[in-house]
Amino acid sequence: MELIQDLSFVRVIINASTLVQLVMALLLLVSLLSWWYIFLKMFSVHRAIKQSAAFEDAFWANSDLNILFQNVRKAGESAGSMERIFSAGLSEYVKLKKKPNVDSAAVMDSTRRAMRATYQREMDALESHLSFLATVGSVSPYIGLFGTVWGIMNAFRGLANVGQATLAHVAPGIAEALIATAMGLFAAIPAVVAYNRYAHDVERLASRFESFMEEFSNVLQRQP
Amino acid sequence: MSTLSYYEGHKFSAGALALVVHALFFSLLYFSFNWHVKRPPNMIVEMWDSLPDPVPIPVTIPNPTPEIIPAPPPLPMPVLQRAETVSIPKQTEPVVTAKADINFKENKKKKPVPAAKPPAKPENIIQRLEVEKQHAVAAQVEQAKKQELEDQIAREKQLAAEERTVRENERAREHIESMRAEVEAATASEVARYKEMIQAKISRNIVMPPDVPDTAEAKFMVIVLPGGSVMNDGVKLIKSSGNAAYDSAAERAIYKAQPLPMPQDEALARMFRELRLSVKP
Repeated sequence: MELIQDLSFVRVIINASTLVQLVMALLLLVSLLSWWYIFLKMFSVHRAIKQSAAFEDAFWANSDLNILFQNVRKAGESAGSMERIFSAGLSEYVKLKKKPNVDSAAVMDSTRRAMRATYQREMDALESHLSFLATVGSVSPYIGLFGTVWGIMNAFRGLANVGQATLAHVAPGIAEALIATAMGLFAAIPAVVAYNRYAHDVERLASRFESFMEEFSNVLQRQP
Repeated sequence: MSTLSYYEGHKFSAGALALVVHALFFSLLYFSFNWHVKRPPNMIVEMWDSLPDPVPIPVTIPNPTPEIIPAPPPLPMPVLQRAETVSIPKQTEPVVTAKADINFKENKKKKPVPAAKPPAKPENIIQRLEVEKQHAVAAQVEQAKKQELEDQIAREKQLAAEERTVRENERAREHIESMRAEVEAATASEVARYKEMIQAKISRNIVMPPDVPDTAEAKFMVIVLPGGSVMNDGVKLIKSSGNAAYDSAAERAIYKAQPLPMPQDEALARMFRELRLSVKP
């Protein structure tokens, strides 16, 4: 029987129905994008953690705020999130300190607001595209499943036209359809894992930043 | 400060890594998965010598050839003979005068009416009588000729009719032939369908013993009872494959495949009474 044909990978995809092919193409695109973001986030979160740790070390080791401030200024664009929070707070504090008749509570409030604003911006940057990963993780299995269901529907519809139905009649259709599910899962699993991982990392960074802000406020308040 | 602090270098390396991951995934799919489906180690059941010669299909189309063909031939012969017997004696008598007559007739024919018109002239009655006599002879000759002509026409008609009937017969035969061919094709496809079903059912039931060479081939003669069951001891090994385990596995499969799919049509089912099966791995 010619039904036992060779199910080469390429032929399976080429023989698939148009909708299944569309689903596969969409999933491939989504998967590529999500993996790109996974690696981007991996690099950026890793870098943020490293920079925060380094800055914290420097901050506690060297209590001279001016030197730290100069270093941050020098780093410019490549400065880490915590450094930026620090520089925003310190510059606001220095500006207000220069002004006469501003009481210290108002100075501290203003400094804290400046630091919080920078903190929000940094958190936003760190959290960017995490929602995309979450969406991919939750939706792409359904997209793949849709492609599979469609392919199996076609396979069974084709079966109705055959007098004597054997498994060999449906097998190629089902195999082709299941590739869509495999691709959906391939896109979804890493996206979910990465989302959970990065959400956790970003949360830890956020709490680190917050505690740094409190400590830095205390340091500033102790300044003469 | 821009909110997105992705580095260009990061973007590129992340993209490259994403591509690498996909390439890995697809190569995994491609290489670790055996996409080329091997022929399952099932057996092929074939019907060699397939079936006993196809039983002539009882087509109930009346064969008109014996009805029509024998009828026309006897008709023309007597007619022909009669025409000859009638015409010959008539012609023998006027043969002597015929030559003169014809000359005369030809002369006379130019003005036959004026000759007949003036009967009052008593010039020579003998001549007139002669003329009349000759007229009569001419009329006789003419009649004979007419008769002959009529006979010929009748004969031609007969021939045409004969030809027509022959042609009609031919057409009818062709029609029947084509119908028979159609019926035969239909039965052939039906037979092929059932053959395939029987083969599929048997090969589904085979439990392959280990270590069977690819060249093994066992041949069986199977006697099937109406309804598709195999007769007790109805599976006879005609040619052993050389591997006893394989032979018995094939035999068991044939018994296990009961009831074999049989056509509903009894004439067709009769063709499946005795199956000659060849079982190959």
